[in-house]
Formats: sequence, structure tokens, C-alpha cells
Amino acid sequence: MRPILMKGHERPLTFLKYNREGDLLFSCAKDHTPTVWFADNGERLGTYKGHNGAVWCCDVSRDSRRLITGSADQTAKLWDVKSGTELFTFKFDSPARAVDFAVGDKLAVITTDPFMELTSAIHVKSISSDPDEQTAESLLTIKGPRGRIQTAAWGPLNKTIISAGEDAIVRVWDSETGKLLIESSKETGHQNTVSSLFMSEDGSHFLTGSLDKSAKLWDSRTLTILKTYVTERPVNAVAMSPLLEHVVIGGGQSASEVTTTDRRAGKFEAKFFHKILQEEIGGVKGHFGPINALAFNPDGRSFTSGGEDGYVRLHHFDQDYFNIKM
Amino acid sequence: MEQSSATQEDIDFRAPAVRGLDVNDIENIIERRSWPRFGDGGAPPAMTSTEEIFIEDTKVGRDPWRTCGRKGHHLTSECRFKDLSDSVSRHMAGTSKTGGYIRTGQRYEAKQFGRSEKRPMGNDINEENTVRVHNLTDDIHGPDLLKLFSTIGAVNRVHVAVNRNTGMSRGFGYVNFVNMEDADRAINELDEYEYGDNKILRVEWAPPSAKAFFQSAS
Repeated sequence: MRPILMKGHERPLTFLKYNREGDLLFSCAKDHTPTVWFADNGERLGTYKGHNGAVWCCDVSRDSRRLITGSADQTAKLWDVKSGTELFTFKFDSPARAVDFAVGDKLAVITTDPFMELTSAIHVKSISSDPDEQTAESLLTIKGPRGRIQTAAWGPLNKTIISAGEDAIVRVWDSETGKLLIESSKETGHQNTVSSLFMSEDGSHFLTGSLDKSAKLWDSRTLTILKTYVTERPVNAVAMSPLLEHVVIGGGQSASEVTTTDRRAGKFEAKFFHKILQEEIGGVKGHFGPINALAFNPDGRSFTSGGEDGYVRLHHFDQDYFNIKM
Repeated sequence: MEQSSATQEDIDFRAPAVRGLDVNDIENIIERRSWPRFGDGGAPPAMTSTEEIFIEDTKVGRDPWRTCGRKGHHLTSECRFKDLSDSVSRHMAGTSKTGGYIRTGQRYEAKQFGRSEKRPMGNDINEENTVRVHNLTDDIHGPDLLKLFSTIGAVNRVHVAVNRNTGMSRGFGYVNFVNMEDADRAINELDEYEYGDNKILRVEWAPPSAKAFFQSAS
């Protein structure tokens, strides 16, 4: 396959997200402007200007009208996808890290980093369909975990919120009361910072990637580890194919070591694993630095990777990919 | 017959998820296609890679194949050692113990020269007996070449050029024979020999510059 290289960001990529239909691709980077692209040919539709810091995460509503972004400028913003206008700003006292719309787009979870004497927190906000009625009030604020919360997602039926971060523990919270329901054990779970989380389409299971050089597949309700995928490098990004039983894992050595190593030795590739057999299928190379973000098109026929090199690479699979037999 | 079809219906064949797009979705996509560009949109910052990218087989630590001791599973008919003469095969069979840690003193070079013997230093090598081997696949290292060329005659030293940055083979190497005749025979017998993944081995007299390689390696 010949990937399409989308050069629009001037700093390392942090996050990639497709809309539900898979025709738009949203990208976040450490430069301050999230960008939306047409996912078929890589043409840039527009940019969302207004943040004043690295943008860590984004999510798009099911109807592709609203975008929410979380940024290191201590805000999370709601945007109109079509025009790029800023609709609302949630202000915090520390950088916003992860954002996720709940099923139905009436709620959103936003996590904030520990900063000065503040601890990290998970905020649940109500999202109104009319931006004029939007308020900054939090329906629920969960505090407790030490260290940065890298990622948060809604569990099945919005009943739970799943969070994971620097303390390597995956936690499931009750989304109404804020009570901690289950947490992963230190022995069997991840041994280092959990860098990414990818929820399956039906919410029944999710995949986490960790700097302990592994990715794990979890049951969303019981938090049992279903599968473990082991690589040689810290994992920065994970995604699951909606079409085949494949997971894709991206990573690479930490950015500080990049300049001292040859590109070919850095293992800057997206690795495909068989979801059930946990066997490695192959790798897709191309980035000049670690992969920070991965996303699968909802039709399962293309995927994108975003790297420390500032490029988004859009790969449309060849027919060969669908013929791979394990 | 009827009973079996009834049990078929009892099984829950739920669709794993609703996939694909309905008519409204397609209309939305078409509408979004014509949305006016905003911000920095519109400019064509995307280009197609000139490089063809494949999903590469990156598996590591595969078991060695039982017949020839090489890494990676392959059919015997595709084995790179299948056409070697009997003496080679026997030699391979005798030394096919691969993997595992070998103490420094027992590695192939030390074995070759024994501890009591004076190990030839770079300066002692008679570089005229050296052949240059190229068109190697990148998983062939010194011991592999030694195995192959030891079947011809006594080998002094083997060196495969590696990229300093990646540690990967650069696809060529030098083999220094004790006797000039063996070097000559190696060129006759192993030039155009199929070795590795369908690669044709090229063996020729080494240029004088080869000496530097042995010195750097010693």
C-alpha cells in the first residue's frame, strides 16, 4: 500500500479519531490546532483555532456536529465541527488530558492532570444540544488516583467510567455516584504508565497500551485480563480493527532517545497482532519517530497513525491484508 | 432433519455489531464533502507516499527448523541447504546445535584456533587468501558463513560487515582461508550458489582493502 502523508501539524501528534461514518478524521497535536481531514484522500477540511497549548485528546459526537478537545492550556473546548467555531470553554485549574463523549452525547468525561498542589481528577460534564445553554458545572468530580490520568472512557451503557494512567492501575468507577467499583491488581495488570485505551465498538471489552511494553485486552465489566500482547518497545497507542480480529499497537522508544538511534533500529512501526491468538501478524513502518496515535477507520479498510514526526499517515489496506491467514 | 434445523434456530446468532452505513449516513457524508473549508483547510498538504509500504513479517525468536538448524519455518524443498553436497550436509548435521549461550572461549573463533595455539592477529592474516562474499541476506552472520565455507577448507577468519548504527548485516562479508587453494576452490564451488532466501551467493577475490575489515573486527 502507498500511504497518504498528511502534513499539517508542526509538532508531534497526540491523538487521532474518526467520526462514526469514517469520512472525517480528527487529529490532535502538540501544536495548538486540532485539524479535521477527509479520511479518503487526506484533504484538510479545516482547523480549530483557539487553544493555547498542546491538545491531548478529542472526541466527536455521533452526529459529527460537535467536537470536544482537551488541552494543556487548562481548558476543554466544544467546537462546531462544520465551521470550526468555538462554542464553549470548560476552564480548569490544571491541564485537561482525556475527553470522551458518553453514548448519546449528553455527557462528557474530562480528566485533569495533577498540577501544583492539585491532584488529578475526573470530571463529568453535561453537554447541552444548544450551545447557548451549556454550563461549566460538573455533575460529578472523582478524585483519588495518584499521578496523571492518561485516559478515560465510558463503560457499557454509560454506567461506568474506566480510567487509567501513570499509576498503571485500571479503575472502573460508577458514573453516577463516583464510587470506585473495581481496580486492576498490581501483580497481573500493567507494570508501568498506561498510555492509551481503546474501547470496543460494543463496549464489552477494551484494549490498553502501556509503557511496560505490552498491551492488554480487558473485560469492561469484570476487569479480567483476556489477552496480553507483548512488544519490544513502550506502547503509546492502541487500536482494534472493527472488521477483522486484529489489534494494532504503536509505540517506540521515548522521544529523548530518538536522536541517538538509527531510524531502522528504532522499531517505529505499527504492529498488527491477532486479537484472539495473540500472535504477531506484521508491522507497518514509515514514521521517523515513535507512533503516538492510532485509529482504525470504522469500516476496517484503512487505518491512520500519527507520529512524533508530525505526520499523519493514512493507510488504505491492499487486498493482501484481507487474505492474511493465521 | 427438522430437529436439527430447530436447534440451529435456538443458537443465538446475533450480529456482532451493526456495520455499514444507511442512506442517511451516505447523504450526510456527501453533504460534508461539500462543506466550505475553514481555518487552514483547503490547501493540499497531503501527498501520497512514493514508497510502497508492506505489512512486514516482523516476528522474532522463531524456532530453528529441525533439519538445517536455520531460523524460520520452511519446507525442506525450500531449504537453502538442500542442495549442499553430502559432506556439507554432514557438517551441518554435526554442528546444527544452535541457540543457547556459548561461553566466550568456546565461540566459533576460539574453537577454530584453540587456546594453546597462537591466534592470528589481524596483521598475521595473509590477505591474499581472502574471498569477498556478497549478496547475503541480512540474517546471515559470521557463524553461518563459517559453517558454509568450512566445508571447503580450513578457515582463518570470517567477517560479515554490519551497519554500526543498526547492527544489521550490510549484505557482504569476507572469508579468509588458511590455504590459497581452498580460497580458489571456494570461488569455483560457491560462486552463484543459492544461499538464503533465493539469493545467489557471489564469491570473488577480495580487494586488498579487505584487510582493514579484519583489523577493525579483531
